[in-house]
Amino acid sequence: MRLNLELKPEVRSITLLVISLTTPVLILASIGEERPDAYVAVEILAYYIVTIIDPLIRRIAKLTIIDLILMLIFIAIVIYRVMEII
Amino acid sequence: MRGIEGLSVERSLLVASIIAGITSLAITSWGLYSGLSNITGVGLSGVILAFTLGVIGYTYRVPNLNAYEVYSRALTSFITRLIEDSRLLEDYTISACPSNNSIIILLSPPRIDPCTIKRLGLWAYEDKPYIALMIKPSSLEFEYRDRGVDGLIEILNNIYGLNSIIYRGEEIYRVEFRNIRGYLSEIVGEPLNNLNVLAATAAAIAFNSRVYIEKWSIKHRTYEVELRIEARS
Repeated sequence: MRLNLELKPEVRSITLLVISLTTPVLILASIGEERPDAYVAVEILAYYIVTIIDPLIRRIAKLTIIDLILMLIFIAIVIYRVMEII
Repeated sequence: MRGIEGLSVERSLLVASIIAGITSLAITSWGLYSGLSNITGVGLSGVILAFTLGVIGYTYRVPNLNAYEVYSRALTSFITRLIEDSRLLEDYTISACPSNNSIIILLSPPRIDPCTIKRLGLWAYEDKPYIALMIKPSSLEFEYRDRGVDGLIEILNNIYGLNSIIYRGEEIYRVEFRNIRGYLSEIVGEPLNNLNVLAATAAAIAFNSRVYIEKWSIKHRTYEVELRIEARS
């Protein structure tokens, strides 16, 4: 019996996005990262990298709102860390 | 578009986002309560993942829909021009007649039986102009032939993927298409728009009868079509 494991392109893209957003978090947790903002910042970076590399996600969904919100969160994290150093 | 276990892709994503969101919020709360910052971090990351899935699910559209939109726009404007040139807009009605494996959609002056029409395209019947189209639905739609209002709901919602509610009156069925946005909201003013054609086609199959579109209107994002079902003689 032959199993049909071929995914539709959009399903493959969404699966890739989920894996890409989950893996860095698991890596950070496994190395004992303590800062919550580091998890969030890495998650946001992973989101932008995947949605730029795989443009199909942007064709199947409108991501403007989430782009904006995640960018604001990322900027807030960066400002918080810079202020902490200063 | 069907996904896992019959759920559409967008619905699967929304369900996944709700589950992930609740779980992540619980993990975040636990992290904050117990003072474990790495657990809080994992929880917050989960919230972002859930939010992303939710947005994708809510705004999801089939990838090749853009191509169909372009084609549909061109065809709709052509048909509207044809209707204007043939002066059908002055007084017309839209009707449908089912046959073995197709549906005739007729735009004509009132009181023309769609089942008497033999020629497709722009023609005249007793000196009155009409436009007739033939729709060839797939075998999926014909599984709901003669199933009445249940069949109509199944065809519109599960096969055509529309968000519709049907109200039954005396001889009249009112179909409400909810959440009409984007391209569909732009073309609802056209006589032979997608929703009129789909409603007439689905009703003609589900009732296996002549269907007359009595009137249609749009209120906010809800498009209403009133269908009169007439038994075949």
